[in-house]
Amino acid sequence: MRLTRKSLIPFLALLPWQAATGYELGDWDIHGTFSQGWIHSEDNNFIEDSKGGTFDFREFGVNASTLIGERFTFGGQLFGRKYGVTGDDEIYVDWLSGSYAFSDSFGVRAGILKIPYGFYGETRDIDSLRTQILLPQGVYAETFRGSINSMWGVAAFGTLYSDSLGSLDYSFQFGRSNINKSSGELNRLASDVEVAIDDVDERDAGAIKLLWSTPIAGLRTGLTVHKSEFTLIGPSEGLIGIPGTFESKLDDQYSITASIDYSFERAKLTFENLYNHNETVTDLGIALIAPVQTKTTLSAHYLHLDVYLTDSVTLGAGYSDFVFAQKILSVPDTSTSRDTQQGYYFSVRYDVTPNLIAKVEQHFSSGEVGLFLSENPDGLEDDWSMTLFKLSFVF
Amino acid sequence: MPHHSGKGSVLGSYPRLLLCTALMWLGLLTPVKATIEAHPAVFLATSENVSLDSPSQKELAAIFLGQKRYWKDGTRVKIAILESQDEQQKFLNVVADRSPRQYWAHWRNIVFSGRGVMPKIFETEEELLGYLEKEEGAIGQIVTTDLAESKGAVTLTIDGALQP
Repeated sequence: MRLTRKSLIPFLALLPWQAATGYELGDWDIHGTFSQGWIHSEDNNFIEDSKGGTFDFREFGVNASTLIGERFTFGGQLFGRKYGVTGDDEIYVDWLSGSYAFSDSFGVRAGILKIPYGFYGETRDIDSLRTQILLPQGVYAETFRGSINSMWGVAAFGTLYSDSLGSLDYSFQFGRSNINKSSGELNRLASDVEVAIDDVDERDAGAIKLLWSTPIAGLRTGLTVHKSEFTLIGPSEGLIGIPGTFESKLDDQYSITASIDYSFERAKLTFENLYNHNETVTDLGIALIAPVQTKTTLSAHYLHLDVYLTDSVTLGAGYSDFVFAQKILSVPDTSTSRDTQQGYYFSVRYDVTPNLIAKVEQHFSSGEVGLFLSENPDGLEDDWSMTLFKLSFVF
Repeated sequence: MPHHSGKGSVLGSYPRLLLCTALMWLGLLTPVKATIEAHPAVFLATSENVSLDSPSQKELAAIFLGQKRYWKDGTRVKIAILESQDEQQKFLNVVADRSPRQYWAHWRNIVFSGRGVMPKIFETEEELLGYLEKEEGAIGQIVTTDLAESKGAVTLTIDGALQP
């Protein structure tokens, strides 16, 4: 299901942006967000044309939820974004689900479900919910964003609460992957040079989320495991210059994210670590060329500090590090290729009103993984930096 | 796939890196007024069916943060908050250990990921108490206990420490 952006934007304009905590339409609870950013990078294009500064960096969405009786909740969210060459402001159904809660400790949910990963995976689209503009790359790589955003499926969820042990939020969900085929991100998943994708065969998906708010005030820890498998189908010409149809099948894919944060006085310290694994079999559809099997891993972590200077000004700083490793399994004795990126970033967030947030951020990075040769035809520089601004409305 | 070692240093932009680091430390060292006061006088009212006597702060935090979603009789917890920023500041600091900004950010996390519905906001105490009268399972913030009692709402204090 997809709408045009023109059908959503007039609707958003009708809503009272001054309502800090949403808007009621009958029994429906309506919320939304719009954020517009600007990226200027030096030495490399982080996204297309960012070396000259680009405004192709925005997100917008609206959601509606309603309670039906004491146990049932139904809702959905439409979302769109522009991120360089991906997104193109096309609106898609971000999530759409009904849930039935038997008690605090057990409920079931079905529909298009967000895939939980880390502290921020389910809400990474909503800029106003964090200090940074860009979540630390590696753990929250933009390249994979469209493939792990949501899934079709069912979930069991609940909160186990104890006065002495704190609370444990859990969710177990399984079903089928839900890939946004029109986002343009798939062209980048297949390779770090862009290739055309005609179709996607969506296969198994699942996720486990455990989030423990410990009895130690301010200390939270979490573990998420998720998988989202699919097959990309497209013309071989873009890869090898020979007409045909290739199939690239993502198998044995899983990600494990361990998270911990601690809020103290007027600061919060966050650490997250991700391990992602997959094996891909790419068949070029040409009899003389055997399928190529590769194993890819991504190991990433970051440390981030928020300092709540006043109730409206927050400073953020972090260090992010990740290693992308790939080995061709179908050719004996090949070595593993490794790409890395490390970087520091500094953010300032200013809550102008409860609905309007302005941010500025500076990144200093080393390493080229996550950058695209197609956007850097003159080659990639190892050391690079970028400055970002973003203005967000949320209600 | 581009091959590179990632061996380069990020210190090429040293002056800006130094400036950003200095600003962060300045932020940590600058004294600001503590926003959380120890148990200022805040009061709660509930619908008649709610059974909750002198709740602990932890219990209230679980309710107001959406971790406890059902009462013992099976009715859904419905949270009602006054619109006044000043009243929210006092109340949310005590019951949820959050500033209004942190509290609504917590709920936006839930709402924007499809895991719940935001608490209701009321412009006046009369409207809030009317909601408590009409709905089962509602709990809300009040500032005038006499008014709550005259409307038949059950008034609560925290840990019995706060007296009307």
